[in-house]
Amino acid sequence: MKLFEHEAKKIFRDNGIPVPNGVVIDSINFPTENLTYPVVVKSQVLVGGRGKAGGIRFASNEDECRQVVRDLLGMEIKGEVVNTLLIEEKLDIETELYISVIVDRNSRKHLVMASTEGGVDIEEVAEKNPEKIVKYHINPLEGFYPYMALEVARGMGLHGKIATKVAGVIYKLYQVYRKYDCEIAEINPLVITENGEVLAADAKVIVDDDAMFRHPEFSSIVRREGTALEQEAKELDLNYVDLDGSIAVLGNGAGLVLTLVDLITLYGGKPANFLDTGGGVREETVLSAMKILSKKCKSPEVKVMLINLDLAISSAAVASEGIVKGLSMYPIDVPIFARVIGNEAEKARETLKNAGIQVYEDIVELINSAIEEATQYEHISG
Amino acid sequence: MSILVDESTRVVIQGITGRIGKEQARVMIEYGTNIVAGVTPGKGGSEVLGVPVYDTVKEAVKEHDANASVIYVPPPFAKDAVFEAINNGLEVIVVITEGIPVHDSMEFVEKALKEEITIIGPNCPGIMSPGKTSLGMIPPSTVSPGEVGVVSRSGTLMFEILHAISSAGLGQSTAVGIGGDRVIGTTFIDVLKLFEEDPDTKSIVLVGEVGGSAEEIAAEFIKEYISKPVVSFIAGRNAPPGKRMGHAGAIISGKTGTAETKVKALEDAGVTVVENFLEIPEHL
Repeated sequence: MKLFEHEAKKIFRDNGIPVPNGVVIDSINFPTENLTYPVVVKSQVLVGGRGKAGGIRFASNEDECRQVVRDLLGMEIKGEVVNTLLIEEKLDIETELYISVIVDRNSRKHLVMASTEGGVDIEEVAEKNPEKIVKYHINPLEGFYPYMALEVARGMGLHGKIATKVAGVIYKLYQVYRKYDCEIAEINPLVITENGEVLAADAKVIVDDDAMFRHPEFSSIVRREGTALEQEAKELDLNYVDLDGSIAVLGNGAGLVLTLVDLITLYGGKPANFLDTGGGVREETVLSAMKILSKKCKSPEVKVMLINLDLAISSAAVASEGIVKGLSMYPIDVPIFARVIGNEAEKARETLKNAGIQVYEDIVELINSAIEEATQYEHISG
Repeated sequence: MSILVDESTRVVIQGITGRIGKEQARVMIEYGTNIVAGVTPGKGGSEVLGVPVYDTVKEAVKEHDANASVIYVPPPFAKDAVFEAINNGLEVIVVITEGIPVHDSMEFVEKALKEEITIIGPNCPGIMSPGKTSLGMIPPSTVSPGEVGVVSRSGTLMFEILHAISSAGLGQSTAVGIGGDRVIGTTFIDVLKLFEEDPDTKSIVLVGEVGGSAEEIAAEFIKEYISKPVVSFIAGRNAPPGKRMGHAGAIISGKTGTAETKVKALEDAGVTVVENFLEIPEHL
């Protein structure tokens, strides 16, 4: 789960990482007495590139600020509506640094990255000036010690009081990253002001969804990311992604559903979605999947629904009866083509056939039949 | 021969009293896996499917000389279970559990690396040496003994591919599902190395998917060290960037993790990459 900048900054502040003074607002009637101008007004969105999209503006007095707030609230940035703004006192920037801690998949260790090239896209720095990024791997069993943070700061070429201050922030950032089970905790830029203060001017935190069970502090946050249907599917614990084709897809196992999407495309069809119920099929997940897909199939561009279940590790009865029950609860008007293999597949096929579903044994035949049906409709509609 | 596990493997199942653990234990026992004990804290002294259950791995090892474990313990308790298995000297630990916090996985993977113990997974279907033993949930109906070594990030896709290989009259030496998480114990490279050394494995099938760069790293390794023919299938050629496609590890971020770069890297290493997994047997 990605946090908004203001949520991440609250965590930073609570854990001793200095952030600029500011207020979070969601309407044009906001208190101003605690603000010292000039200020920066920052749109709180989850998509990247909000600055270039005009989502960050400056204001030198209250009147300007109110105008900027009116402009920004309700604005759309890459399809995301701005509902919240963070107003912060503008910093007198001397230097901008970059620091982050991430899960490094390849080394399987925590990785601290730091650079004096802050305030810009770090991937660009990595491409053009890789020598300007200090990388420090952390053994997950050993952990991170303050001396290591100082080694990073020294590696960046910092020295004296600034080095120890920056090292302090790096150390605390790692603490935050571990405490909140983050996939990434990033400060870009970490600002050194003309007075020698060190502050997190931005904050990016993504929390591991798999760790939510031990973080009740996030349970009240409802994150709205993706399309309406993707959000609804997420609430039902389904792995669902909207695509824009004509063939709705239901399958089990991430790799297998990815493959269905690929094969449909390879044979000339257009998948309408990715939906993975998980490797093992349970009745409640099948019902949730049918609920989502019945909505998907109502959209005019969807012509066919394709089901492919590998019952190697699931009960055929649960899967097929789940689909039939789902159909009675959430009617689907487009033709359904299905394939079931694995344990007791014969029984499952019977159940599906009796419900009027066309059943195949061969995956290529299944996909081609679905594509044929879908394109036939395309011809009719012109 | 086979790699990592065979008929001499003595298996303990951690989480044998849970719904899935019990279901899978039944299938494994029917297949002939030598399951010597189960472990569930608080259920010691009972029996499941004729298998004695202990409170701790320590007792299971002491009484039955177990040397491998399959873990079905729910995510909040999985880290504890894996450390328990490692610290009691089990040599092959298969972590089936899906949804373990990645920081937890990093800790036990590091521990296993240090102790030179094999962890397969997490979030994996397990490992099977057809005709010999099965640790996990690879369906017996999809395999037959043979000379193809199979390694895959995905579970159900691997089952389809095993089935395709068997249907073509071929069989497998060992099939390893290494798991769909971002951080896993046994990697493509570990398995490739073992298949290269195994005299009974004549060819290798590598099943990858979008996200991360494990396939690119495997390609580099194949170029240098693998003399046996490798056939590969990469799932997710049409996956949109930035979306988690089911597996925690299946996400294209920026320029990293696309199917295109994986296919290219593998082809550059001399691997035959097929667009449709049904074509795999033709190339073996």
